[in-house]
Parts: sequence; C-alpha cells; structure tokens
Amino acid sequence: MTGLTFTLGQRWIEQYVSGMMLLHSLLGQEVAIKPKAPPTPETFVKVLGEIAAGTYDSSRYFEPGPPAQLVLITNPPPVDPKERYLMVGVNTETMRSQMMSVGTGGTAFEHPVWAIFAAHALSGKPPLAVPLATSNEDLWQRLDGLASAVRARRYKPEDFFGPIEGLYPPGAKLRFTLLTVPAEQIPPLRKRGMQALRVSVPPQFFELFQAPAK
Amino acid sequence: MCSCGGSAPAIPSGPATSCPGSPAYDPALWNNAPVIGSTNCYAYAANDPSGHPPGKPQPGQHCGSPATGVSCAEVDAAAQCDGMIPAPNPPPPRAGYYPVALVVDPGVDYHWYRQDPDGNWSHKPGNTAARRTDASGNPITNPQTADRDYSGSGGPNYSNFCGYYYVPSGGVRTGP
Repeated sequence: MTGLTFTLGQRWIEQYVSGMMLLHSLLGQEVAIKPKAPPTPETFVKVLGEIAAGTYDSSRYFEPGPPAQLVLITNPPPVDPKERYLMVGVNTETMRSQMMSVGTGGTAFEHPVWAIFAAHALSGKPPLAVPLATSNEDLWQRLDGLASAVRARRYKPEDFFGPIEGLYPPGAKLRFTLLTVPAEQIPPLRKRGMQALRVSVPPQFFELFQAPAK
Repeated sequence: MCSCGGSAPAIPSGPATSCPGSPAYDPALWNNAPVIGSTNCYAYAANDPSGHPPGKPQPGQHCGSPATGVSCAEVDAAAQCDGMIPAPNPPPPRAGYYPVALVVDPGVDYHWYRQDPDGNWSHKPGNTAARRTDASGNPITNPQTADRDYSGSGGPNYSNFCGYYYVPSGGVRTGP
C-alpha cells in the first residue's frame, strides 16, 4: 500500500466498482458484482493494464454480489494544498505531447471511471486515450453521458476519447502507473487539461483532457 | 553590419554569412529518423543531433542536474549546468558562439530557439520537425516578439521570455 489516496478519498473505491459495473455492462458480463478483496490502488492499475491488453478476467477480482446502485461523482472534489494525491497515468503519446519539449508522461486520470474506459478504448483500433472535454467541470459531468450511453447501448469510445499517436517512449509497452502528484499541481492541471507534473525529475508532460474536434 | 542578436533588424533572406558562428538550418538532418524522434528544441538549440535514445533530451540531464520544474529559473540553472552561457539582451555577436533563446509556459513546457546564419531564427518543437516559422506561420526575426502562443490549437503559450544564451559553435552535449 502507498498510504496515499486519490482526490476522491476513500470514495474512489465505490467509483471504481461503479466503473467496473459499467464496463461489465458494456462487455455483456455480470453487472451485480462485489470485489473479492478490498480494492487497492495497485490492483486497480493492474486491472487497467489487463483491460487494455484484452486479458481482463472478472473472476480474478470480482464475484457475484447484490445488485448495487450505480452512483457516479460528477463534480471535482476539493484538494488539500498540503497533501499529495494519487492519480493514474498511462504512457500515451498524442499530437500535442509530441510538440512538447519536456518528456512525455502520457494521460493522467483523476476519476477511476475515466481510467477504466480509457483502458477499454486503448484496447481498440485505433487506440484512444485522452478524455474529450471542454473544461474540467465538463470532464466530470460527461461521466453521466458516458454511463447513459453504455446503458442505452450506444456507447462509442470515439465519442468520449481522443486519438493517440503511439506510446512513449517509442517502442515502449503500454503501462498504467500510479502517479503521486503534489496538490498544488492539481488546480493548474484541471484548469488547462495539461501540466508538466513533478512526478519525476525532470518533470513529465501529462494530459487530463483535450478539447473535442470542432 | 552583423545581424546576429535577438533584436536585430529583420533580414528575411540575408546572406548566409550574417552570423558565421551559427549552425546551418538543415531540416534534412533534423527531420528524419532517428534524429527527429530523439531530439527536441533543446538538442536543436545545442546543435546536438546524434546519439540520443528515442525521446527528448532535457536541460541539465547531461551534467547530472536536470530541471525539477518548468520555470525560467529552473530551466536556466539546468541549461547553464550543461554549458549554455547567459547572454545580454540583445546578445551581441561573440566569436565562436551563436545565440539561442529560452521561453517558458510556466508549469507546462519550455522552448528554445536558435539563430540561423542569415539572422533569422529556427526551432524544433518536441519530436516534430524543425521549422523557421512562429505560431502564426511568420518567419522568426526576433524570438522575443515572435508569436509563441499555440493555445488556439490546444498547445502551450510560451508567454515568458527568459533570455538569451551563447552556445559554442561546436554545440553543447545534451541528454543522458
């Protein structure tokens, strides 16, 4: 365990499970599920990697449970400026990140549902990864639209995610990781949808969202 | 009159001898594999095209003290550690050296320009092609006044002009 948590605090777990219920619905799998073991951030990124690789087996992580109410948090939580928070990163390269001088980190996810569906979108052809939104508020509120699209069986990844050019560095394997982000970097990341995050030395460029094509 | 320097008068197609210490603008060298995908603006400014792994050499990486953040002060310190030499604004000609310029979108990205032999400036954004035009598509006669705002296409806005540096004509080694 890292001892750190996401900006959603312990509510990240219910959001993770809700996201997996939605994914199961999309994949035609059992929706009434509960985790076999208490989810951890580490198992979360492992699951994401397996979803992206097409090797996800729900029976390793979930078992049938009572039908659960799917509740999505669609407003960004406040952050404590003194804290550091976990985010999920994946080493994608986009047209925008190719232009940057700082090294590419990839796409960063604050909400588990975006990470889960990005992993699914990365398993498709062409692979997609960066959530499409006009602002951070829009990013969070679009989760309702994503859930509605899945329920109505009209979900298309390209409606919610933008394309990637490849992985970074070139030749690397797809890799989901946990990022430890200083709180003071989260507001500017949310504001502009991109930031050189001090998750390493030197910092790396991450994208939180990109504007939909006009 | 030598036209080298940041605020030199625009010379759209000046003679190739205007800034004899500057490396030639050579897109064929920089815009093909493997150089295009293993260099960025910093390696371009340092005229250091070869021997890099895929990726982007970072200021201070070669000297073992990479920048820990994206600000003028942090990139400046890292670049000086690698061998970039601070220059006055505008940078007067200096034998055996050519001028480069550093700009920053605070917290997001930094960027470098280098002066070409004809007095205009060129740059290489990230792992993309070297070019001689600014964000508006105009020739870069002065990096301090060039359009450095790519936010209209979702990119950075290099709003902070940090300053000029001299690079030895033989270049400076960058990257790991």
